[in-house]
Amino acid sequence: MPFDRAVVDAYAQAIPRGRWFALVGLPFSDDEARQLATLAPRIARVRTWDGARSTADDARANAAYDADAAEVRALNERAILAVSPAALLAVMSAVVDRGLETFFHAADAAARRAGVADETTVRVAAGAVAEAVYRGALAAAVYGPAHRFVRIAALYETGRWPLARIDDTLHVF
Amino acid sequence: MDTATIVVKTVADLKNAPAEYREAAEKIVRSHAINELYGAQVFDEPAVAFAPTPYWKWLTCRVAMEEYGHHQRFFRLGAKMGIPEDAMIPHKTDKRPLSIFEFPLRSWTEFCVIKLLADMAEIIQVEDLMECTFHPLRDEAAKTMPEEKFHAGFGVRACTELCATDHGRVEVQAAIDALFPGMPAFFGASHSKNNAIFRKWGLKQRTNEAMRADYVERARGIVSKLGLRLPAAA
Repeated sequence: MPFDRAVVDAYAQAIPRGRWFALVGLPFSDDEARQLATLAPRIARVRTWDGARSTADDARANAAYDADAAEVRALNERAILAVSPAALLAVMSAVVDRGLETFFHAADAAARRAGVADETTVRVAAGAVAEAVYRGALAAAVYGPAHRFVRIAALYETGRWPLARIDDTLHVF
Repeated sequence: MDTATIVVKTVADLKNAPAEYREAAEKIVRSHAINELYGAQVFDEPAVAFAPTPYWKWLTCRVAMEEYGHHQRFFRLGAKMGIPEDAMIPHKTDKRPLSIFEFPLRSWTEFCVIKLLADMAEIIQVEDLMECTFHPLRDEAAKTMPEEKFHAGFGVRACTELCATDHGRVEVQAAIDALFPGMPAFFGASHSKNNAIFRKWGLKQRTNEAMRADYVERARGIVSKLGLRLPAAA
């Protein structure tokens, strides 16, 4: 499949409209539960920002994170069969640029709503969503909408924070 | 305009400033645009892979984005000033990034020490620019300062956590021993002609030597709070 830069542009354009972190801590709706069931055999709801911090800081989550990082490298390799590395960087930078302020402010606002003033965890959240949206855009442009990174990015866009997959359980804030 | 009274409030006003002032302002903006981007490329982005858990990986990812955002700020200012875009991108320009970026990053501990020591050096540089007579540059410096302080604080917290074990403390000291000797060069040569011109026009306030001495004292203080020591500078 060629690299579809229009898909990446659409991701970047959609960033201001996302409901980033709007639902963190809340119970899952039936629709959400169905969506989440496609991502892992078991889902665990994380209820607080402290819980989110400790879950994301669990080294048992590294195996799944590393597998995703390897998949990103594979997607990049496929992308540069279609476009030069410089062109890929330029296209993907639009996602980074567009999210730079938006993601930080969304995470900060959500944390403040919960009475949390933790500058570090807000940055962790902003980094997590930026990484997920970047990966979602890359996967959608290279592989298409069925890729798991696309579904993970969509989860963020609806207001959730998928924190970690540990064994067969996806922990979602 | 003379050197004692010059204040340039907008990029548009820069065209009325003396050529030496314009060139000096361009040098500073170029340097920041190049080094903010290069630092993100050679330290922050690769450090994501070294980070111990997703929590630290995402934090590092965000820090890399913020450093990239600093580049963008100086890059956009430079573009408004008429600096060619390629002159502000590492490897597209013949201007070399700072020598500190030649340090080969090999571990999470080294990255934390880079945040601890190199970002403090950046803070000292940015503090100086916050008195700058070229107000668009002063304003960009002020915007980057909270994030620079967070990055240095990140280094302090991460190194403090690492130093909680004997093994971690040994590794942090080894990283300080490896990194610090190259840090004083970050501030440029003593008796620098460029720095003299920057100070002549109020673009910078302090000599390279004064900033370096300030840095070494601050670095000594922060390292001693960790129960560690600074090696001799190179």
